[in-house]
Amino acid sequence: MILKLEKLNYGISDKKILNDFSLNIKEGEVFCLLGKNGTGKSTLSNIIMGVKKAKGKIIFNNKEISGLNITERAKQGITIAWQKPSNIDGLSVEEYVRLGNKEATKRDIKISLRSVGLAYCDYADRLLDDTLSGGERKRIELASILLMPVKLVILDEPDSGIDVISLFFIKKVINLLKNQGKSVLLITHNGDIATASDNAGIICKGKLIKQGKPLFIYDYFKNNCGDCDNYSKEDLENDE
Amino acid sequence: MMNEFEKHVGPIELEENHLVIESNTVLSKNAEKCLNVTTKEEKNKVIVKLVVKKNCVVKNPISLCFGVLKKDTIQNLDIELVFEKNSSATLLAHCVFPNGYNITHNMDAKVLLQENSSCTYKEVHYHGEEGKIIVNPYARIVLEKNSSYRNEFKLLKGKAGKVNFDYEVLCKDDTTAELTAIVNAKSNDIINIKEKAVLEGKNSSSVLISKIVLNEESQGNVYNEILGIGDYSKGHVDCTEILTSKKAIAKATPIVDARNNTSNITHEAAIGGVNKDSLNTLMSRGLDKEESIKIIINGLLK
Repeated sequence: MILKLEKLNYGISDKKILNDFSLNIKEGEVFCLLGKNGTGKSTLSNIIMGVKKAKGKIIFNNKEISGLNITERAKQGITIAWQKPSNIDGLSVEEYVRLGNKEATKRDIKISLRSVGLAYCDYADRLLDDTLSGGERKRIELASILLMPVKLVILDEPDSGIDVISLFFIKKVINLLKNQGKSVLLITHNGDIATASDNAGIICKGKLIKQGKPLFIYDYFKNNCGDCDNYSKEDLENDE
Repeated sequence: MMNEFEKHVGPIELEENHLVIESNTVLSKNAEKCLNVTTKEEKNKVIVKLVVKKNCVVKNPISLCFGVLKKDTIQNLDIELVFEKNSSATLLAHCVFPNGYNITHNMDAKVLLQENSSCTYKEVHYHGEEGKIIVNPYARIVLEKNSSYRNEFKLLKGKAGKVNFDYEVLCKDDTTAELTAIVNAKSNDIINIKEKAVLEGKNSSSVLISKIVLNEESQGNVYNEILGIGDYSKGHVDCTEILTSKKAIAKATPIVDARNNTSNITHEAAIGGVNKDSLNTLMSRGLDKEESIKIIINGLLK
């Protein structure tokens, strides 16, 4: 197993967002986690990345990492494509993409940008600011993680608020990551994207309630999962 | 003086069109036929009038180098800039006070841009490592029909001392003004930024930008005001102050005042510590916290 989450518990005031949440992801596996708005999907990704602390164990690559901060987890081999990627004033697209892999050559940057449908000559010098559309910013996020020498990539709702063309490139990136031998935790509620995974599960009331092949799981999710009454306000805000 | 600037800040090139003033003495000046530069030395004061002549487009920047090399000095500069109709020029001002000890620099500027003229004024300051200096840049700028003015004030290296920046621009019909102040403050520096734009004319527009990083025990007070009077006038205030220490203090007062139902005045301000989302993003790329903060701050001051 590349990632083992054991009995994660996280709450805000009296509200339990994750309730003994457990999940295993194998090496090279693309695992899709489906859940309605506000069920704690983004909270989970923040907990795995080290942004939030939860009770329970996080074992990555046979090491307990619960006590590590974000940087240390990234150095161990975990990264995330954020649901709402932050802009960094003054940083160019090329500088940003290179951050996770300082050894990357200009050719590497060109290839990773091309993989998400962005031409190096049009984007390398552009600043990471509000002049980029949401779809462009998400694709730059994906280009940056393609270059990182990591073992596990969390894709936190890569499909939220983007156009059809960007959706095509997200699926392409998932396949590229898989071909690179990387494991992927894909968090989404988009059935089309979910089909790019090897296995899938549903999060409900802070627990993993079902697990199986993506088509079966998505079908179950579509027909049986209503709005969650155990919603996390933080997650709802992220989803908006 | 230029050597001192190069030593502490970076390369500087004196252009063919230039004016160099040390303390209250004119050391060098040169102006091509498109320009008319007059200077008058009075006791403890230099009076400068620089005119960019009608229909002249000055291709190369005009260098202004102002500074004080001695300690215990008051420098007073009265500057009048006139851009006659259809003229255009860029001024690069290097203000250097390497031995900043008991020094006061007062700049009182009047700027007039006549119809269809355009001015870019970039000033880079260096106030030494001790920074026992008071700098009072004061400017009143008038933009006549269809003219544009862009000002950029940067103080990034060394200690700032006390800076009282006070610029006000009056925008008539179809004019554009952009005032930017970027300061990296440290120790007990006090940075007071006051920028005001009066959008009197129709279709006039203005952007007031302040970016300040406050380290150690420094203080930043930013007062940005835009007054929308003219039809379809547009203004925006953008203030960012980042505190890197518990002892630093940041204050911001944005005043957005619309007096016309067709005008549109907006503001945004971000004051406090380093943005957590940006920090998390960089750390998730394997950068440690200190390196991430450095990238965020350098990006802001870029």
